[in-house]
Amino acid sequence: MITVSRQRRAIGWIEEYFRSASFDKALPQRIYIDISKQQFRAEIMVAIVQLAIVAVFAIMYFATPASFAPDAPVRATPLGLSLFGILVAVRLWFAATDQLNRGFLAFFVVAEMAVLMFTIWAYHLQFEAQPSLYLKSTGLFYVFIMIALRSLRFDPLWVMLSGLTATIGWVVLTAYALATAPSNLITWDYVTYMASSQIHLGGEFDKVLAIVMVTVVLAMTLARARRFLVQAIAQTQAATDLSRFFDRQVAERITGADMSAKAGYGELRNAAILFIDLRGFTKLAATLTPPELIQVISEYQRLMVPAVQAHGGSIDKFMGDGIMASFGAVSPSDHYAADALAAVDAILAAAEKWKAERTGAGKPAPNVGAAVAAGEVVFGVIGDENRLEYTVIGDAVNLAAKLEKHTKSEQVRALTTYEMLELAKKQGYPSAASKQLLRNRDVAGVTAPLDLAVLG
Amino acid sequence: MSRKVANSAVIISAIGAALLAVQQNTMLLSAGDEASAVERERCYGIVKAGKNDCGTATHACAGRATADAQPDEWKMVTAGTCEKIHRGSLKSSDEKQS
Repeated sequence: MITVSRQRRAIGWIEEYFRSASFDKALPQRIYIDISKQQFRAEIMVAIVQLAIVAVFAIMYFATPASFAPDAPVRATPLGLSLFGILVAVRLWFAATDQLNRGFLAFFVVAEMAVLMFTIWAYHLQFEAQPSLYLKSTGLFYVFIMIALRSLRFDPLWVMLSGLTATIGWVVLTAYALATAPSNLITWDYVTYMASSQIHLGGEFDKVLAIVMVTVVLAMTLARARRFLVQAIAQTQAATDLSRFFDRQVAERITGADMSAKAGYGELRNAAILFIDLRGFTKLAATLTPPELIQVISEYQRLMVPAVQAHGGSIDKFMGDGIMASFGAVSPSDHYAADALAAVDAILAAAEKWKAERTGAGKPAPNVGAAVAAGEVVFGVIGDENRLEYTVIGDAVNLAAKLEKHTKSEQVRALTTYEMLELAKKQGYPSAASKQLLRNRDVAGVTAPLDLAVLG
Repeated sequence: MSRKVANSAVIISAIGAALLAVQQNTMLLSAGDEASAVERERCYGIVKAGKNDCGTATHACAGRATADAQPDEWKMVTAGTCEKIHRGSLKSSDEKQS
């Protein structure tokens, strides 16, 4: 015998099963909104599929000759299809104008099934036969189609409501057939039942049981599917949120990787490294209020980042007002040097325009400095297991940083090495604009003197 | 057009369409006094060629009877009249055989 507490536990388990699948209030609001959007699309889809089914049956009805007397008192099929089509159209209107709340939807779910049940009932009027005839009509199969259609929306509730309506409907249809029969129509002989208009209660019970089973299975499937949907949406949202902290190419690399990234992974690449910096930032910081300062930095980054990305550069990191970018490191390229110099040209042009705008508006206008160096670097993962970072390591990185500082001593805006300029020209960088060369320069932190090229 | 007016328009046209569907496919709401409430019965063996109501063992449609007074072709008539008609039968020739 089942004790009360065990029953309670069973009920609790069932509640848990469906509740965990329903919208968790713990989820962030925007995820909830995302799921609602999904459900909204599902509602539109259900309506469209239903209209398509109406269309198919209407075509079938009109393309084939009628199987009842032309002057029959009721034409059940066109009547049922019209009423159903009208219901769906009204629901589509409410869904498309975003007015469909739970109460409305419940009404439509019940009404649709009621229309189907009514149509099945009307069969006996169409064929001018006794009511028990409709219990053997193929209309029963449409009941399953209707219930299944409700599963297009990830919500077990509507499948259950639809199934419940169908169950009650079939019981009512059976009861009506029995109640209106002129004589006792019940038979327990299966063959007689099959070959006549008599009613086998076991047969009708089988049908009701099938409706209930299909409903329960679909509802359980949906409850599970919905749990996955919630998880998937939450995780996609998390990935989208976190990916904004990475360079786009790096983010794609992380999510699209065959193996998960681990520290110590590295690939040797020929790449160019670019450093960009705001000149006189420290001095500027002293004169501006914090909000003004943040505004300057965000304006500057909004100009620089797209200029770098437009030329295939990948933002490696932001360091205060400094930006480090790489070309040809995240994914190999055979024109990384040309890309880097083109990016520098774009940056300087953008910086020039920005400075003019700010000066025009009477605001302090900082200069932008940049430097590029090319060479072999290692692009890889550093850090510990729980906090990893994709970055580039190599002489070119150090050299670019040093050159960037060196621009101040040379009183220029952007520098690179002579070798890199030549390499870029080979890779298709337009050599028309001749660059000023600085021979045998001592760069702080570099042992041998270098030949440099002024980029602007 | 405000939402309320649009909703009313949609609901009114839906009700109108539903009434039209009922009027078109049933005897209800019809203008003429057709004998809609009359009980009818299938009457076999009395139909002229091409004037039958519907299906038999060999075809599924109205108007397919090939000869007059075929014993399996039928027409709906007011209940109680069939057996008063010459050759009229409430049973199809198929049913009689079995």
